[in-house]
Amino acid sequence: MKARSGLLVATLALAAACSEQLTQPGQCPELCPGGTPQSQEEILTALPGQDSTFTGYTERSSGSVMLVASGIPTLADASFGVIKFAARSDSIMFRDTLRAYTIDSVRLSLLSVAHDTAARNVKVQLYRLPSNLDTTTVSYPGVSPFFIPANLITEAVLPDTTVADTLRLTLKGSDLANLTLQPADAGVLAIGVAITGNIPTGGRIGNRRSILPPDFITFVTPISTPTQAQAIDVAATFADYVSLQTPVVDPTFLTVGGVPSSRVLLRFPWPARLRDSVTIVRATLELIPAQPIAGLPNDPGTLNVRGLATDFGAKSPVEPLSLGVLPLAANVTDTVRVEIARVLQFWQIGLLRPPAMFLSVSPEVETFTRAVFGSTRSGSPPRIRLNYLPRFPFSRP
Amino acid sequence: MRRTVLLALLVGLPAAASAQSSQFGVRGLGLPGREQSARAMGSGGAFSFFDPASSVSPASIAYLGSLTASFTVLNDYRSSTDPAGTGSIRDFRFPQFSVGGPIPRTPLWLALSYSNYTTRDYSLVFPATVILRGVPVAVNDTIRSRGGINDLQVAVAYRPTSRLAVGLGAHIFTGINRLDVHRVFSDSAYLASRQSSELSFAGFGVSLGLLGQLTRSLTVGLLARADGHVSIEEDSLPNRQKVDLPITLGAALRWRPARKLELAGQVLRHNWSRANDDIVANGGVGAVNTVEAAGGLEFTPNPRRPQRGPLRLGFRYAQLPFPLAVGATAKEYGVTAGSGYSFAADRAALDLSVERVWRSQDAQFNEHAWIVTVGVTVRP
Repeated sequence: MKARSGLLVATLALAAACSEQLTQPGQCPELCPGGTPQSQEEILTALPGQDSTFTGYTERSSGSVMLVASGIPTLADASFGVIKFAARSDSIMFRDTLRAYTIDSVRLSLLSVAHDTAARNVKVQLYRLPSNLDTTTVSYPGVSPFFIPANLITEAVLPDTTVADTLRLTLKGSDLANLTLQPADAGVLAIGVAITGNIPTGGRIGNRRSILPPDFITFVTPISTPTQAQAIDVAATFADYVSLQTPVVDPTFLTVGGVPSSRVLLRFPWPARLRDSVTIVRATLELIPAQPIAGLPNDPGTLNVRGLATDFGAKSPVEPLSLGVLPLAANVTDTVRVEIARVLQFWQIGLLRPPAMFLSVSPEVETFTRAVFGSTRSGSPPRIRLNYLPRFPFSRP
Repeated sequence: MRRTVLLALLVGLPAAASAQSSQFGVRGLGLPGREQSARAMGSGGAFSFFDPASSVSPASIAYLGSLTASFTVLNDYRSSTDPAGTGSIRDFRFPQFSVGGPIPRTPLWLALSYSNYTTRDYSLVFPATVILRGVPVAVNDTIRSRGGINDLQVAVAYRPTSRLAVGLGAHIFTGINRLDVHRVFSDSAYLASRQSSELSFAGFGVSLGLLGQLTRSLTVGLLARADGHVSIEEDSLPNRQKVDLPITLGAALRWRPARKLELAGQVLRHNWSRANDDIVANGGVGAVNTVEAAGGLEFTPNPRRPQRGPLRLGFRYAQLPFPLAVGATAKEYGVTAGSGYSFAADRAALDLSVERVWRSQDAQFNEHAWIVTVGVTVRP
């Protein structure tokens, strides 16, 4: 009986120990059948003439911000925001009767989406613009004369610690004189937005499509007895920006970003030996800036590199999962390197995946970032520095 | 009905019939299996020529008194040392199972067995530093292999006289070897890589066994086996590779000097060098002829019920066919002890063996292991 129990216990113990751990340190060459993986490096240069810039994918009217700056993206540049509100009624319905009112205070609200927190004394300045401003032809030369101290309505300093903030500028008392609407204004208020700082700087201010559109609230007291404070809320009918300079896309180079947005299509050679059997461990897209990357310091746009699902040229659909990303810092002149191993791994899947990629900057038309890179035409073509492992020579017996 | 179910279960067991892993299974076709049951392993394999649950000699199935099924479970606790360090390894395998018995109203026996022929189970880690883009980067390579060659044997034995048994075995070699290599980088800019491959094996061999009782207490066994060659297919590609398998010659002697005591010994020689050219042609180290020998005893306290608490002792010596370096010789020594217990009116039995094994090649590569084997035998 004891022997039987012992055997049963041993059997159960053996079954309970059914685990596996086979790893041990290896020694080459004795314990290296097939050797060890050998890394290889290769550089792929964009095919001549197969690198192009295409512009117009996203219009500025699709954006949700106004790019307002002084000395950004280049020192010679400046941009002003222009906001025109709907007409404010000169009377208010109070106790079932339209009544005249007296203005107690006014509040203008704006969303500051982002600004350079490294700049100091960054101010958002609001200027009075003519109420009869034609928004269909608004231009920098047309509005810039109004950005003078005499037209300054108010200003606010943006906090250094917060990238995004909601600006609520309230005027009361004597400050209301700056916002007095004359009969000729027909109740319409138009303002200009400027941003200044101790250094060239800028900011992104929400427009009508932002989550907090510009808002003009007038707090009034109806002329009535008894009376009660009321508010008249007027939304913006126009909110856009004008710039001193409008960059022109030079087809010699590759331009990505900007407004309207530009994208770059790159095609590379992709030999069968790379498609079939190698394992890609790193791939870096190297782009040589033709000029310092334009943008707002400390508010970089993101350079996105996406593989194409199929190659229809400028209208090719992209594969969203094959993505390489890199924040594009402003004023960089060194080679830009984006890790795109996932994109090249995507090229290895199936025969129909074209060895091509799209470059874009996000958020499109909502960032100051605009990069101009060398091309095959300028003598500094984009290239991919590729590290891979060839097919491992597994040991046959 | 129960017999049918049992047969189906045994035949349908997973094809994980590999024996213990070893760093000496890294090269060539791997570490050869023993094709022995737990009972035979208890005495170092010395009785395997005469053990019907083992697949060493097809003539041994003539000792089956009735339909018998057995399978073996093996646990290996190993410490392997090479110049790169020492690893503690454990694995769990099913190296052997068989079913067979006499064909009623004939002097014939029939058995089916599934055994490990060679094992290529290992997992090796190679830390290294490589230069990538001009910068040293630490990497960790892991080369992993699972699987090997299994031997599906159909054996028929014939007993022309009460003192003579002749067995003929047909061996079908099958199996899969999955290999993969994995590299991870210390620099997160590099993605980990994994490549894999699969080898599938197919082959056919024959064996002829003879058992002759010379006297009442002395039995001799002889074996001749030709395994032909194994065809290897990589990743289902059309081009196949062939590796010759050895011809094995062996002899064994069993002596019963007393009613409670049996002694046995066996010698086997495999000319694995037949595989040398094929292996070298593929960049391998090669293969060498091997000899293995075993001796052991079985003490039976109760000869009427020999499976109730016998004491089995044995030793074993073997050369390993696939050295890790050209010109080197790898060897294996082992001492074993075992016992067993039958129950259910001897319709079922458990056998247990514990073996201490030492393997070495030169002074640089060595390993020692505890191998615990449990066998279950059922006579439905």
